[in-house]
Amino acid sequence: MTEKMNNDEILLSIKDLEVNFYTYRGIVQAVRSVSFDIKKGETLALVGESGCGKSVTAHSINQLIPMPPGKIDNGEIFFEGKDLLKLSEKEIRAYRGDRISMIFQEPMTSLNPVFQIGEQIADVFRTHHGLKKDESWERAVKLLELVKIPSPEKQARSYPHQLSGGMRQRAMIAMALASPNPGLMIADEPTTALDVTIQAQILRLLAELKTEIEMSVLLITHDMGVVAETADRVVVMYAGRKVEEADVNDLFENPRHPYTLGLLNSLPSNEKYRGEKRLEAIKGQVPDLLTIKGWCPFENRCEYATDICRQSFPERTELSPGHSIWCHLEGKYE
Amino acid sequence: MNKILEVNDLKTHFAIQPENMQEKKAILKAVDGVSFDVHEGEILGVVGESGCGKSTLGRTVLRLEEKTEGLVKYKGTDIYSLSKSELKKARTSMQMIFQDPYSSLNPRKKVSSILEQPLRIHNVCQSNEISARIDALLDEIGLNPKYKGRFPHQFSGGQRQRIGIARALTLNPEFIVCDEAVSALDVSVQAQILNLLLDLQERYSFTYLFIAHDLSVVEFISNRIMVMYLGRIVEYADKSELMKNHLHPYTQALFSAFPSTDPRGRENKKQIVMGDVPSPINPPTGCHFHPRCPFKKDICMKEYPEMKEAAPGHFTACHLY
Repeated sequence: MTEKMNNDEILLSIKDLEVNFYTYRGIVQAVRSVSFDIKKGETLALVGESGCGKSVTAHSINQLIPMPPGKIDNGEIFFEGKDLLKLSEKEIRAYRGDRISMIFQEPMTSLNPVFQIGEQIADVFRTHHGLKKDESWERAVKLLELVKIPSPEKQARSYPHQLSGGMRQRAMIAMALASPNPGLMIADEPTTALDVTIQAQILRLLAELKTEIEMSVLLITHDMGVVAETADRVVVMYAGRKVEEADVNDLFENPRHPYTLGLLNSLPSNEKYRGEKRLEAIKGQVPDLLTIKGWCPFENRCEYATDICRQSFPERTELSPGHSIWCHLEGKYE
Repeated sequence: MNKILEVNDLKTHFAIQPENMQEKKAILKAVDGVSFDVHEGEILGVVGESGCGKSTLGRTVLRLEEKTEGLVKYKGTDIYSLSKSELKKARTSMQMIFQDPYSSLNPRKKVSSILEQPLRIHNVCQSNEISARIDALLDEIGLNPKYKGRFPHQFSGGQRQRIGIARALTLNPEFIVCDEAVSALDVSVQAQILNLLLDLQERYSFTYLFIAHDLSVVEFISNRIMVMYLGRIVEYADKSELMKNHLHPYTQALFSAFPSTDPRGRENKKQIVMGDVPSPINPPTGCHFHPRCPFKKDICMKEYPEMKEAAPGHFTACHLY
């Protein structure tokens, strides 16, 4: 935990991930050929609108997607060099909650309502590290202190319904940290259910914890504001595909995929709307993943689309080191 | 400017049933002494976090919720003095757009019958005109009239919200309460709906009471903004004034907590207000914000501050001013 941080060391590498859901209405192509890496100690944000496949991608890592109907049809997910998709259920369980932990959007439904929160956190120490009852409880209280829950001794004996939304989310984060050696924390919309002043507290807590503990964070969110506040790098997804990948500053200052540009222009908080009376909205709606074609999924909403966009899914265009888009126009439009 | 709505010291309290026999009945003061005016043709934004009473306020001014105390005058008439039939008549000009486009439309009714019902109940047009009227409405809100035979589940969230807007427009209203009208939508669709609401307002000079928790949305659409905290208004002013000066410490906290879309700005993040929103059942004594306020004085714990004009046209309820 205390070794020197090497920024270029890759912790997790996803290659050509393809996830389909086999439903009675047909095959839902939730994720199609998505690849990206997460370096040690970085926060990578996976951003997109509902149905873009960001949660399915993240849940594929520790195989939490319901199978069936879901099926990982292709791809490799390397965590410290080991392909997680080749592991047995028993082997992957050793990773879940230990090296790869998860915090969810709605802490009320993801905590067990009939156990005290201290008990639930202590459970992780007992299961994964074989600690005794007393010791695991002590460790749980320490973690509650780490996530800045006031009077942790007392609060460890609370049940989830006795805590406020923000406190429950802190308890969830404490549980995700219940490992002597946390590697990757997957945060699936960690602040979406919270009020904005509480969201600011939780985002700050996550940032502080990251400097204290060497871990990587995969942040899944639809909120561009949260991305700007926390991420180091960003992957933008649309209808199951990765469309842009960039450093966070590059993405906000120089978005080059028409979808990313449209998404940023849709934000009412965008600086350019000072005194402006209308927003530049993206027309139309997200395509149905049941009937989606093989070409660029954004083609029907894109104001720059040409014939080539209806022929194939574009190859990667690297605009600058670390900044790539998947667009036939290769960023050449105005 | 003409006042379309006058609200004076409005209170809406709910009785909470005790969980066991020892407990006393608790009173939840959702809206607790709120006064404001809405001018004709303006968009008045109401912003606040969950539990601050903004939705209850929106429902009470339409008499969808019964008030506990206070006065609500719509175009000079006290709507709480109206009889049932008079209220029905008054309601044609006051409408509401709801948050959730999934649960606010009857899943067993086709779009045409959802829109037809208000027309028939209020007898606004002849039976043979109804179909043409529905086509015109759908056209207005940007949905192809050929889809009017479909059921709500056959539409996307954004399209459903458009249907909800069409329903609010059926009776040619003048005043519309938009209760979190875009919160359930994805950001690209949210932008379309915001534009639609602005287009409609321009065309028909509607007056909106626009309730939302998303500061950026309220900031974009409103002419004036009111900030609520635990059942009371803590600050209100014209948008341009409020954007420049946040007087109340809660308003300051709210604005600084709102994530900016400038990643380079995150290093110099201002102070973050700590603590949780207290329960409206048992709000703190004095100023409700004092347990979280970085500037609190002794008086803040004892007395609730009066609403004062701290700058021209800029009102706030805070002991600092």
